Amino acid sequence: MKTIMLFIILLSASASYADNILADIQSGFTNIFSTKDVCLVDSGQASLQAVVEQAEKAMSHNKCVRYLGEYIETMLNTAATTDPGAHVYTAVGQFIANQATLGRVGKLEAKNLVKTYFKKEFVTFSSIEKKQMSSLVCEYGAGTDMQLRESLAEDAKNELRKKELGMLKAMDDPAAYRSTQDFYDMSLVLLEGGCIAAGNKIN
Amino acid sequence: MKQTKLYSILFAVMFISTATWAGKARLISIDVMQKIGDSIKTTGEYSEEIEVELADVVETLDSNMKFYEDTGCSSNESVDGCRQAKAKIKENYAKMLNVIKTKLPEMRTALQVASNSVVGELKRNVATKDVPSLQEYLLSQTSGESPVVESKRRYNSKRLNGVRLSSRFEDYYRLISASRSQNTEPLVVTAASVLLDMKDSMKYIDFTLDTIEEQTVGMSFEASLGDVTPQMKNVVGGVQAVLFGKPLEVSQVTPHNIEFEEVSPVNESWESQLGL
Repeated sequence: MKTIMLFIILLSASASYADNILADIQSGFTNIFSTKDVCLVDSGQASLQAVVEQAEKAMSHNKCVRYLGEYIETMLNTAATTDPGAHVYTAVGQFIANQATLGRVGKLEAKNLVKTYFKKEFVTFSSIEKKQMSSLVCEYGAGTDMQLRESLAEDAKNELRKKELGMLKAMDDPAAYRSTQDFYDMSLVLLEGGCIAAGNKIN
Repeated sequence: MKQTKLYSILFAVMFISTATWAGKARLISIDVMQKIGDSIKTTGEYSEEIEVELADVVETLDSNMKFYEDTGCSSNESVDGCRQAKAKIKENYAKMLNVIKTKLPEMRTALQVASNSVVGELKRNVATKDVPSLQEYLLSQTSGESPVVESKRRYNSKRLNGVRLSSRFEDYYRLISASRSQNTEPLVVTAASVLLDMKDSMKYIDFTLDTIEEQTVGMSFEASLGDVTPQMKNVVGGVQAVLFGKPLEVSQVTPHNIEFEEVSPVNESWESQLGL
């Protein structure tokens, strides 16, 4: 009799444990789906304004703040295909500044986002520690020469791609982009030259 | 009170030194660039002498090889005309290797000497600076200036393919002179650009010398050499590329107009809010 009772107790305990696990899984799925729903900004919008409004709404949820970069890209891609021009800078810049005002992102992060997409200055370079360049951005390559760290050159190239989206495609300002592209080339030449010189034994 | 005064002085000194550095027109002085220019000019004249000496032998060899291939000699080696052509190739090839073996190292040394002066300056004036300050310097040098008519630089490729070595030096000299007189681009960028190109030239020379070394070793063992081998083509191609500017595979970036304009100069309120 005792054995039967013990068996029944164990059975009910494990059933309730399984129920708990099932509830956890379900709530997890609900969370995943709800995050996806509230944070989703449709990339097929007809205007930049529509994307900005949707992104504003999404950004009011804390969990969506991490998608800010994606929202900006969606805004710029939409502007590029629907109505490119100088007004994009104001619309997107204002949106970014609002996020800083509302405390969703830091002021520096907001400033850097604007610079990344719309300014000639490279955040990749300005965010490097203020120490002698040769000790931070140069590395020895396959040969004996020192060269610019590949990952830095890659980061700068990625930032140039973002500036291309912001300045050239969304703002439709080829002169500004060309000037930025040239600045990028000059910066890399200067840094590469600095690295080669740093690795050379000549004084 | 004293402490506040001390801080004020300290801040003022820091501000003035930063402003002085950022406001400096150049990271490399005009006098130094003049010296670099002179060294480059001398190297250019020397490379021209070597080119003249080599031009005939390389051109003859090139036409020998073309004739051999165009007339289908590679599949008809036993034909008399082809045998003669083969012998001619061998003779001219050996001649070219000998001239190059003595002249290319001299050329490399000249390049090394010219590049050393640039290296010294970049080491002192660029390698010791931090990246954000270098960027600020470049921004201060390139924004708000009148548009540059034509880019004289070939960034990205950094290889002046299709240009004779001596012409490259003329090009460098012209770049440096133009930078001095027109102030259209930071001198230090010109210097870095010239250095990268010289390094490339030295690498080509090293590559060519290595290949020649292999070929010469091969010649002493293989008496019947004379076939137009891929290695032989490499050597001739390498020499032509370094000395005579025959294009290699790397494509030259077309210079473009540069307009130094800032994006949307309108000072929006959100901009001042972000401190932009």
